[in-house]
Amino acid sequence: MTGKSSEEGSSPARSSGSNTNQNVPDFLRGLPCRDSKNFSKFSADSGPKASGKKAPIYMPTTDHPSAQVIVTEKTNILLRYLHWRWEKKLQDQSKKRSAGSADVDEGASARKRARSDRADTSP
Amino acid sequence: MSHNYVVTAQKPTAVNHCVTGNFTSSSDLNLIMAKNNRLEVFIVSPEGLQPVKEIGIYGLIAVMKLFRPCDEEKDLLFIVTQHYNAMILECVGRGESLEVVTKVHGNVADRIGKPAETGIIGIIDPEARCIALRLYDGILKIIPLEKESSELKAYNIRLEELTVQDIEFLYGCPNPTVILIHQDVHGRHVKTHEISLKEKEFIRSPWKQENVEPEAAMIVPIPGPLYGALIVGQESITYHNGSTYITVAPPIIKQSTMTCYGRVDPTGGRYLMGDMAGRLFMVLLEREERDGAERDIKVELLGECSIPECINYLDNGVVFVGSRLGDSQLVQLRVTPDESSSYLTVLDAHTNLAPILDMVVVDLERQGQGQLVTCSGAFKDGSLRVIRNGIGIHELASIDLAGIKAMWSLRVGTSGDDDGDELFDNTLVIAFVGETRVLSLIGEEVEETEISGLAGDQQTFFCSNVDHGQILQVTTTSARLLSDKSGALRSEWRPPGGRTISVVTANAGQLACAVGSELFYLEIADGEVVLKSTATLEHEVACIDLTPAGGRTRAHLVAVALWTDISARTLSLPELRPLSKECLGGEIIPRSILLAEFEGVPYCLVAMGDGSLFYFHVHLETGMLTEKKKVTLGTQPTVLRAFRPHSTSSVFACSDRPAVIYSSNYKLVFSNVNLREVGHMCTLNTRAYRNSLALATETTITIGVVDDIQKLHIRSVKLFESPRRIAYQEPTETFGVLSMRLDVQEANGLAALRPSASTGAKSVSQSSAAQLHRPSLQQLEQGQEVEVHSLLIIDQHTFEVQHAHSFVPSEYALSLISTRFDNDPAVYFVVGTAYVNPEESEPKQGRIVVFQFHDQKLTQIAEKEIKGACYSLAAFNGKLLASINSTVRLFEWTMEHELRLECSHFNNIVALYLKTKGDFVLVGDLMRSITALQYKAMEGNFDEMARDFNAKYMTAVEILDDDTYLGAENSHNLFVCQKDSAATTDEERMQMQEMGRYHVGDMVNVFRHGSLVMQGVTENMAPTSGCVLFGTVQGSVGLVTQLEPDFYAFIAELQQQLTRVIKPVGKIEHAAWRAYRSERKTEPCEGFIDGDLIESFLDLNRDQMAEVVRDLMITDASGQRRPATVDDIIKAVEELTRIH
Repeated sequence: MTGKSSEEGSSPARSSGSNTNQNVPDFLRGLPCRDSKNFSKFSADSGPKASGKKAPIYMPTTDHPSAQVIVTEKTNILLRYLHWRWEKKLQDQSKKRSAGSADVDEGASARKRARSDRADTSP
Repeated sequence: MSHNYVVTAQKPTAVNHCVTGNFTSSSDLNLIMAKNNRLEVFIVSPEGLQPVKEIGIYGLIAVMKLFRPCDEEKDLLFIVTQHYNAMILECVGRGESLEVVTKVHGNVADRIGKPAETGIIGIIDPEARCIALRLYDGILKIIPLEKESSELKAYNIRLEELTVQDIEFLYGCPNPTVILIHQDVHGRHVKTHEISLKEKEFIRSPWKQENVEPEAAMIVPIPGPLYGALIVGQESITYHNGSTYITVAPPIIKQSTMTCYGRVDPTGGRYLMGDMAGRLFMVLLEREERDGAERDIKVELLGECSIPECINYLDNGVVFVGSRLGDSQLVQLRVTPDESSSYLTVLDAHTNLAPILDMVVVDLERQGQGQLVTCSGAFKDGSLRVIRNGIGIHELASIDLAGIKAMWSLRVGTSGDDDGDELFDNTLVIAFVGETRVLSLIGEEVEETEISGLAGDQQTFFCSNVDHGQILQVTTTSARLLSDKSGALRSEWRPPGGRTISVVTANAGQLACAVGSELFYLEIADGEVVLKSTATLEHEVACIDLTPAGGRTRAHLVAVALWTDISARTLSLPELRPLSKECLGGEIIPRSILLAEFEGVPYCLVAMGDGSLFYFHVHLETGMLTEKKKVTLGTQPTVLRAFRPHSTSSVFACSDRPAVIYSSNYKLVFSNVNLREVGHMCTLNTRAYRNSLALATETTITIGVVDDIQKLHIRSVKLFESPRRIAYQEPTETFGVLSMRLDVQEANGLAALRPSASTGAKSVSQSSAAQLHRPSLQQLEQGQEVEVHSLLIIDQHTFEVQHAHSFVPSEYALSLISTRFDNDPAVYFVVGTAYVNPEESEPKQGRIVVFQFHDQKLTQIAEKEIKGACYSLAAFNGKLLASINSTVRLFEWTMEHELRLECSHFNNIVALYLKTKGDFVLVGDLMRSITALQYKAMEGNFDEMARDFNAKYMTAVEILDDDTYLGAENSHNLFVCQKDSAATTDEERMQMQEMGRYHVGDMVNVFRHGSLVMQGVTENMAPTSGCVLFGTVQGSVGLVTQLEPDFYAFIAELQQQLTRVIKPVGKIEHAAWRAYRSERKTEPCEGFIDGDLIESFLDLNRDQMAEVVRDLMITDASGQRRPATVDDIIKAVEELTRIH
């Protein structure tokens, strides 16, 4: 792509002629070109420049409901990490054991429940 | 309750971020700039950058990235604000119907967490699987980009690495993988983490590199086929891809530090990099690994540009360099270097005032209008900017001629002077009392000539090229038609009875003139003027016009203004049937009437003998004049002339305060012109002076072009070093400027890095190091950069540096004023300094130095050693007030021209800012907000009157009135405090009440009383009082003014309605944006109205305006409450816009 653009593309290369292309230092050879017309009519003296022209100000008055809302997960970063470790460990264990994974899951949730119960009773 | 109105006069100009991509459509190449809280969207086109839209965001833009979700055809814009509001925006539709849709929004702040010192970093996975945000130390927030769910569940991952310098996503990884540079006690290291979006954790670290360069600060991820990343440090650039790495340390990059990069090739072969010295490099990654040979990185210096903040390769070798410290530039990469071996050609520059360190308001032209002179930019991009509300005339030539009454440009001659289809003027007809002279303009030569058929012995009233290749000249006695080829007289028409023509007007085919109260309408035919109709009016005609309505060649109505009843009237053509009459009132004679069309709306303008101007809307069919308005432009009779600069229709009002009238958003704007007095004007389009104006003053004709029409006119005076403080000295017609340059220690002493204002001054002096009892300087290493501070004396007319006084290297000049002292007629520049020793926690010594500029020479008159840094100076009761470290001290000026300490005030941490009014002193503290002091002349001491006991890190302070103080602090807030003199107890009196709070969204560096507009331009000025201008770090200029309580309540209601109708981009509530917010607390905005929001009313369409106005009530002139109309509000808001 870049090779092609050096022929039809970058205006400096073209203006200096194709035969001088080898004089072009390789760090400037074949600069990318998406549309060879871009900047071709640019002239610093002609009329008001982009730097002086002001874009119209966008005034949004229609409410487009957001498709999605970003929410941050409330779980404590450490707790989530511990859960993650825990589950990973369980998975590893379940792989090691030949026992059915359903049993392990049940056990895990039961144990979790027990712990939260205990937390509730604590003062 | 305080009633303040804050509005931006100049929007922020510093470019903080820039992205390129396909935002407005899949085929458009866009450049999007973020300037503080505004986005500017451009399209790359053959003509250059075309502005598309400017989008306001309710927040300071901290992160801006374009990304392409996998199934999208165009890019989406991801933004995070300083207050952690995140959004994803999509551009829908084109042109007028273009909409920016907030696809995703949400606040990503955490309740706990230490904001990272290296700022907010936001990065997006190259395959758009997720976004990662580094907001707080030790935590990386991941936002998975899932299409289906209505919620994007962001979660935090713990980062082991606490101090992250830079973080990026790597290309070509099966799971999103970040690479980061972090610092610990051993140095800086590079590490990668692979993220599992399913498990919400880092699952492994594919590779790492410990102990990279100690100053490594930037990561450049490389796309395929190479993959890996560049690690850019101060001295070296490393390429690493996990398995192999290569480091280069070219000497050329050592002088400075790379701060930003822009990718050139989509495959990542070449990168543009910019450093803090404003040098632009091309970094080449060799593509193929040749047999045996290692891959290489080449670094080539391309040349110098503005100090870059962001670099974006656009197309065809054109690069946009966004800058925070200098003008942003559009740069063309040249294939062959120029004579200074630079590969860069600057195509265009975008003016940037940022950062505004200091400024003064002066009226240099004595036109009753202030202009601002700012200390802008830094280092090599440092400059003074002269900001003036109005329009600049760029002078091309001038001709000395006195007594000109009027002028017209003509095309005369057989060959004409045409160039393709464009016709050029070549002649100027100039009317004097009792005679007419002709100047021919050939090239740049001007010589007096004659046109055979032109009556030279009479005063010409009108002259122009007209239809059928003819020239029309109207004098007091006749209307003459001439051939434009030979100049010979073809026919002549005289009013019946040989009476004298008093006023006349014509266009290419029509002529109307008046003899006393009798009006004649004639049409111009081939070889004759034909009388079509006559009419007799009640009174004598004072002025007349029949400019055709836009697009047409013939006028369908004529406008006249009459003596005696002082009325403006319209009459139909060709019948001269009266259509309408509007009395102007008063006894001042109308001097000039003009029909003009602005933005497709026909107007009738009537200028009066006292410099005031009435304007009406004209109904073209009925001739009705409606919506009468009045403004005051000057004080002398005014002549109106139409012209079209840059293809927008405009009117030039010639008077003692010349002005250009044009229309913006369907409202007329009256802009001053930077000329003192203009008697007459005509447009001129010759081959040498294209699209120019000829302007006649009392003694000369000036030929010039009108600058781009804009409200604030900014002139740049480059200093090539950092200006810090500025003071104006009227008697010597100079500015004093404190500036800083960087010198480098070389083998035989300090050497300046580049020529700058202080090295190129007409005369130079230095503080001698030997004389001073200063702390010994530490030994400087060779190659070390040293700050050298100078006082520059700059001429107010030429802006040439008359004198530069340099201080010794460790002496920093911190404050500057121009002042007089009691019992001494001389005027002085006083400079406060500090000796800075890096080993001291705060400066222990400094000086106050008194200079006098006299006879083009700067002389040191006195100096006073002080025990600390003199942060601020103020003239106070004929004495000198200085804040020195934690103290405020008052010095007397003795008969022996010495400064003697009179009294001091102590209760501060660091007293940074001082403002005075009468006996009152306002002190702004580093962290303890503001304190008001009163000077007791009899006792000779300071009395602490009141203090704001809140913790605030101040950046600027100002006194609004004796009891009310304005402050700006470093969390970008403004506040107003009031001292309660009526309080019953001492304790209550001591405590200032916070009456107003406002988040201005930018750091205010300076407040100055003053105004940018001509005082009293409009008849019904908005009920505002006082005006304090402020300059900010991001290069914006704003103002704070006080409204009357009733008007404030009304505008507050309007603001409320506007927030209802305007749906903010990113769904950030206006109230949340303007709420006072600091590290400790957030409180709702109070006592301030957001003028920027109020003014956006004028950008709405009529239906939207009606929606805003729906529930508003207004009190009319008779004191009746009634529902407000759209026009009521337009009028009120337009008046508010005229205060800046």
